[in-house]
Amino acid sequence: MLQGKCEQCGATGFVALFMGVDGRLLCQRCTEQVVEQAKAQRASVEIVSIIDPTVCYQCKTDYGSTELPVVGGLPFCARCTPDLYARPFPPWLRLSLAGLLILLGVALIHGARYFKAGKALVLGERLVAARQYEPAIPQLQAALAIAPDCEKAILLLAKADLLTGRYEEGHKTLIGHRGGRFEEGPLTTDVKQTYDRVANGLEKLGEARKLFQADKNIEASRAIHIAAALLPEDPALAGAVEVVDGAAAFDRKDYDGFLAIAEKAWKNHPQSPDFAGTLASALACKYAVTGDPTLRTRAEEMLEKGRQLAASSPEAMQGYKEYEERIRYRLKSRQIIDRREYDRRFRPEKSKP
Amino acid sequence: MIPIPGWLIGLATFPGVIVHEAGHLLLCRAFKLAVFDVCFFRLGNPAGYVIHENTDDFNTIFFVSMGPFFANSLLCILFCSAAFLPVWELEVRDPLAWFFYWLGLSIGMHAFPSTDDLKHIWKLAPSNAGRGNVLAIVSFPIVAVLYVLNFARFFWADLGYGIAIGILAPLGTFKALV
Repeated sequence: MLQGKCEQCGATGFVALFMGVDGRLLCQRCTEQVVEQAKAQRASVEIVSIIDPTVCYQCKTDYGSTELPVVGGLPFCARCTPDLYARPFPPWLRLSLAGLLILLGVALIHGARYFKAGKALVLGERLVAARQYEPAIPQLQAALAIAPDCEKAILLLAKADLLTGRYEEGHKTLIGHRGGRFEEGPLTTDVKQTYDRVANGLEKLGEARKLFQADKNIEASRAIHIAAALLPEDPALAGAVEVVDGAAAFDRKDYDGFLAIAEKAWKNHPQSPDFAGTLASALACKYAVTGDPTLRTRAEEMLEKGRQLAASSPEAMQGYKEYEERIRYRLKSRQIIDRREYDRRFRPEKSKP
Repeated sequence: MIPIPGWLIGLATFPGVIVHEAGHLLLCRAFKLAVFDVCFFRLGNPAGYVIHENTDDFNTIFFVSMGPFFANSLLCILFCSAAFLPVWELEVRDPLAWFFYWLGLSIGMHAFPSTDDLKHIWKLAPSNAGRGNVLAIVSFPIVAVLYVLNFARFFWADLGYGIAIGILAPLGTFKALV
């Protein structure tokens, strides 16, 4: 161990017990004095510890007057030096790091299902944005199967349901989440507007149905047009509009209008025995008014088409038989009467309330 | 600013401190630098440290100082990638996902190298860059940004960094994959 001499008081002792104070070697007592003075004068003082090059910094072994090799400015003996370069990882740390890697694996496996759900949500969102609502529905349903409380997926699915005519499903999807309460946002506003529009449309459609059942076809036509404007995405509504419009034209005795509507409806639904019958009915009306035999021939052709189309289903055949009888009567008598009147005259069992 | 004691932050995010210091130690051993003292975690400032021998070899000091930054960042991204969808996008009440997210953020929050480490790189970078060391050239902007961010720790820059890479990186990866 090296000896040192205090540059202030001249005291001698082990150099390791001395301090370097502003570049001077001082004993502990003088160091304390200098520090006190500096404090009083509010001055700064630089203090460094003195390393004895003959004492191992690690094991503190005193090697007398032999100076030890220095590693990073510190003396280390030959026994301690190798340990500096191979500092062990404590067992708890090794276990923790292994645990961390296992946790990472678990996290990635655990996250895989959410990745699938997230992917389905993104794809569903893109499809909804592209107005492809039908293919968006299974994607959003897949996302909700894993994340049933995801408001974004719920709102998008409800929107897709509503805009493909699945009104009941859309309503259930919305109500099923916290009683229909959602965080405010552009998507919520958008879906709420769609929902309100659809609700209004359905109300109007119900009104039209009641009017149609009451044979108030002109009023029913007005109501169903409003409903159709509110529900433009409903694929079934276009056909219903044609039926009601045709009936309204019949009621107004606008047989040209009735024929035009029936022709259009038949063009749009060439596999429908009902629309074949409607066209036959319109042609029969025109024949009754004009007496043009070509119209009668066409009406009979349409009746035959209606029969062929209805042959596949007993239900359709029953409907066909109902109108065939009336239309043939119209062609034979050139008298235009509606179903209610026909039933009253010829099918009293049907006219009973 | 919410005054939260450093020890509390350290305690709440201790895995990040341990991972950071373990990274330092591993790299010191890999680059054969003497290690004088190690503290993997404590309730103090700094919350952990590795006191190691200095060197004038730029590559060694770069990897020893910056290695934990990259390792912590990568682990943060991986853990958060596994957890960010249920936590942020899918609104799933999954405690395990939240645990992984906390773990990722804790690790990411302690990614920053210490100011001393950055100073050492900064001191050696100009001469090494002059000799055409690509790592030294690349280190300039990284060290400069990290140096500033280190001072901004008072304003939660470390937490901000953790959240940023814990959200943006997984989100970017997810968008790229889907």
